Amino acid sequence: MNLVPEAAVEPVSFDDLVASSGRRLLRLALMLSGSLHTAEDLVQTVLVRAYRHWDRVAAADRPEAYLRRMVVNEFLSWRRRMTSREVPVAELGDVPGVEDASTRQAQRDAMWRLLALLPRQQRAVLVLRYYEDLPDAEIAALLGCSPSTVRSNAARALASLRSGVPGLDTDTEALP
Amino acid sequence: MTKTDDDDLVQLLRETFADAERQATDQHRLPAMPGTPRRGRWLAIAAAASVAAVAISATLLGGPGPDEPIGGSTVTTTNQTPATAPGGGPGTGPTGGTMSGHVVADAKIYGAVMKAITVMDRPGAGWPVLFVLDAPRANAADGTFTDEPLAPIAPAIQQQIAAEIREVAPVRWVSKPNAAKQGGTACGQVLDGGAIVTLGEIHPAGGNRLDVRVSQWIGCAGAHWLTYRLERAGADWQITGTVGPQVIS
Repeated sequence: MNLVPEAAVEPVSFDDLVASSGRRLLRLALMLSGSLHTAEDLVQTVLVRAYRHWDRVAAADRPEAYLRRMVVNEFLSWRRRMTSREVPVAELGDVPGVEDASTRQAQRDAMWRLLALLPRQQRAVLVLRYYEDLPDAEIAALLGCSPSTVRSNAARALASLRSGVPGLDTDTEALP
Repeated sequence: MTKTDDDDLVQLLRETFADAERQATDQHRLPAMPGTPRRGRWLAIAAAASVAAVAISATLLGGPGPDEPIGGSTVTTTNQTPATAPGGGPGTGPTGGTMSGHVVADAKIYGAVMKAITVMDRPGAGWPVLFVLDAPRANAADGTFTDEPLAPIAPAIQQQIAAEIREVAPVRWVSKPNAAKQGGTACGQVLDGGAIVTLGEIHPAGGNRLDVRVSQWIGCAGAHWLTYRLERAGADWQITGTVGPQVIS
């Protein structure tokens, strides 16, 4: 039953959507890119594009989800700009010992740096799964892959993180 | 790997995300929620980066709304051609509808860029044809021959671009540079005595300004790569100069 007459439903405006979703988009972009500066660039790029294609965004069933998808897609396709800014390292320096009193914080720091080393698709899966708390089916739809690919990417990403974070059990099973 | 191990790892991952978010918030870099006095700051961030956002500010002040062309164009059309644009949103398929403002605006921007670059090396009788790549390249201005097409230019925009530069030369759209060269080789002569134009994406440069990378190629010893800066001038966009390096072959 449609409780709201169609005539009463006004299309969302760009200003309102930015105001309501901007913070969340920036946080998502931060988790994806690992850098606040890059995240701001990412979201700005998406908002400019969204503005220029506003008729398409506003016509979406869920404009906010549409913008989120744009942020993820932009992150996945932003190879040139991202690679010129990220400075991945093969091995983490200054890894903490497990006896360190601030081990947990050190582990989080190590985890954050390891996330930057993951293939972008794997990082996106982790962010969408454990930060956005999206179900695998929705992640799959958003990334344009199958749910099994999402699970596979998540498993591989977690295995990589486990092997790199000090103080965690590294006795992992062989991945398919 | 046990379930408990997985849970520990995921918990640490969640804590990591929360930590990153907290640090960003502590640095006052994440904008406040809507309704707070810092909302304007978020809009300002967007405004600083885009011409589109300039239009937003104008909207807030009672200026033109988002349905109007970014280029401020007064051109109107009832053409029902589907419209997408380079580097469009996640919907990869075109959506139907009237020719929207961004189609006209993109065409005007690209048209101005093409008019500018095709002045170089122009034959006395003018260009018989311009072969234009149907998708922008990120490296359009850096003097390289790597070919990494971005999202294709929508047919509606292609048509509008061709209309914009019809006085310069007829346009033929090609997907790869070598498709417009004799023999399909890297240094082959351009077919029919024409030139190959490679467009880059349209990048906001602050305020009413935009940067667009572009190259023109007539041979391995006759090519230009550069980035034009454009500024909005009423209903049109004008080249105000170049930015960054210029490569001449």
